[in-house]
Amino acid sequence: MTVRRAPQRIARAAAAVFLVSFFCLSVHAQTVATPAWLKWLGNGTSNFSCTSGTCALGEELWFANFTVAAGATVSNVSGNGPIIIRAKGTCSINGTVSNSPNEGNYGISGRGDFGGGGGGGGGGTAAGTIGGTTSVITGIPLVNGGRAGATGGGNGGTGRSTTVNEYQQFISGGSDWPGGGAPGGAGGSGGGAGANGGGPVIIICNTINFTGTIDVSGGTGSNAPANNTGAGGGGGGGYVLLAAVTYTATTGTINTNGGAGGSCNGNSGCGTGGNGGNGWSTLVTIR
Amino acid sequence: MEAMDGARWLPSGKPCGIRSNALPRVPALIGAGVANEIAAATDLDARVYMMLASLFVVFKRHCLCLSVQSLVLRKSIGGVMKIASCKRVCSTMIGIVLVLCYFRPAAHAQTLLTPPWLTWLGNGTHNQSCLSGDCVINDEVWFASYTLASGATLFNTAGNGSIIIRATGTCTIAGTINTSPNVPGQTGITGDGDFGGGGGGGGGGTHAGNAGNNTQVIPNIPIVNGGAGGKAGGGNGQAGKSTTTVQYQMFLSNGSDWPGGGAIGGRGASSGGAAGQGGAPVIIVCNTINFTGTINVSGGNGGNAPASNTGAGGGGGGGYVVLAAKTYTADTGTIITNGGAGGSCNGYANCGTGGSGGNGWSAAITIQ
Repeated sequence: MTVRRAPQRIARAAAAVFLVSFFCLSVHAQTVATPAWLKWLGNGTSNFSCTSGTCALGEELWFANFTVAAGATVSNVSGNGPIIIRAKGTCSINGTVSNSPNEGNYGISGRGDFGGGGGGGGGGTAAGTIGGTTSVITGIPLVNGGRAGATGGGNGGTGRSTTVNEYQQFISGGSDWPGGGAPGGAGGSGGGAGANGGGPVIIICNTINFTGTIDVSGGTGSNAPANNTGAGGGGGGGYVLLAAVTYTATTGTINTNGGAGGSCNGNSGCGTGGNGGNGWSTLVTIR
Repeated sequence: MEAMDGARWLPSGKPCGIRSNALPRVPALIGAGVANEIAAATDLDARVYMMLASLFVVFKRHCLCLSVQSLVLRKSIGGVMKIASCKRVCSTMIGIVLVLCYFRPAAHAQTLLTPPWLTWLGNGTHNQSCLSGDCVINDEVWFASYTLASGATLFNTAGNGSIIIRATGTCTIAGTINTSPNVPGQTGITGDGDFGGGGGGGGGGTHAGNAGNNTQVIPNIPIVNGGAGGKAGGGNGQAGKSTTTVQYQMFLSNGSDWPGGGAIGGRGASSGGAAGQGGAPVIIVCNTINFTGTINVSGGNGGNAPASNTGAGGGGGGGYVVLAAKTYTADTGTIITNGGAGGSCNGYANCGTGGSGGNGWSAAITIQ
């Protein structure tokens, strides 16, 4: 009897295996485990390696492998754009990748999109300028800038930081021109300049080894130049998005802080600049 | 797939047709023809689906019959021997399924070889061809297949938009697709555009000319810069920038829900020549592309100065062209993405010429 029942058991087991396999298959077929735009690694065939000093890169580049050695810095000097790296192989970031105006980069002088709002400019004799509000569509505010300092030396307000609900829209849908943080407002009465926002850094590779630094902090507002002028607001922080199938290290440092507002520098009749709002960072495992 | 017929797995006839003297491999189980189809499938999901579907046929043919046979022949010792080959086939098949299921998560972890927005072929709703004369497609249309015959021309008459064609079948472009505002009566891009060339600056007259527009996606963040306007007193307008690879790769990776094209140029000073409009994008995503015709997305030419002490208009930025297909039966057509020429002073005094628009770009993607 044992021998005769064995085929039945096999058949039942086979039926169960098929049911499970088709169930699993249908589940996989209907949804996506990772936003599709983060699964595309580009079609680059050349390697990039910044081994020392500063290497200028901007916008979107496709490589086979991407390396920033310890002590080296990759910067976006042209401004108003992101640094986007896609690589089919390994991205090793042991040095610094910077899209922050605090490190000699131009940063974001436009509205930005999913970064922090700009800090408000301090008031002088006249009111300061409101900090930049980020937006994707003209006329629809996203992350608000800080209020302007009132006439007579009012301090500028701090820009708002991006919330998770806001930036998850970006993670899901991506953008064909990621914008970063908004600039700060200028101080009143010819006061200090508002600083530019930090730009985005997006790195999408098969493997990421991150032990270095990524800096997308907003710029620091300029100090008031004289009595009865306001200080400039800080720029909003940019954002950092890492996506990889495998991470061999994620011990690096990410700076998405909003820029500090400018000070009055001892001048009277002056309002300080507001700080920029913070940006954000996230790490996605491609599945 | 004819073996999906339910009668084939009943225990009558030849319920267990696999020879017992060899452990069957996948091609033997599912048939050489189906195996070749699976091998030819370029899409991983399609390949796995075909494999499992084929194995399911074998499952019905051997495992279910095994179960029925065991009932029918349960009192016969010889019956157990007869179903041995079925048992072997069934066991092999189960092993294959388990292996497939085991590697399934790994397959999903693989990244994409083509930007996802370029793998969508539409749903094949429309059937339309343009076999002669002038035809119009405004914005995006989904076809089963699309043919633009030699001698026929396809326009976008609405302006400030693109021509986007997606087709589940073949797109044959033997005629001309023209979104250039240089065609009389056709409106190009009157705004900033996005990833096309920057607008040329308008020439100066008594006053300074107007700068050509920058392209942009986010308000106030310029992508491709327009040319500066000519200075007062008849300075010439500057040329707009052409789109660089690192700029338009952002578009290729992510696409856009409203591709914008090239930017408009600047008008000539002092009521000078009109600005040239930008060229609109053309995007064709089909299973197969046969391209032997012409696609013209060039920017519009700036208007000439109308009088002394006025400037000429700047040219519009060139648009862009993206072709994406699994297969190209021909890709020998001509693509024109030039920026528009700046207007001339036409012999008038105290006039600056318009700057030319920046060039757009084109790319052909093989869908993998």
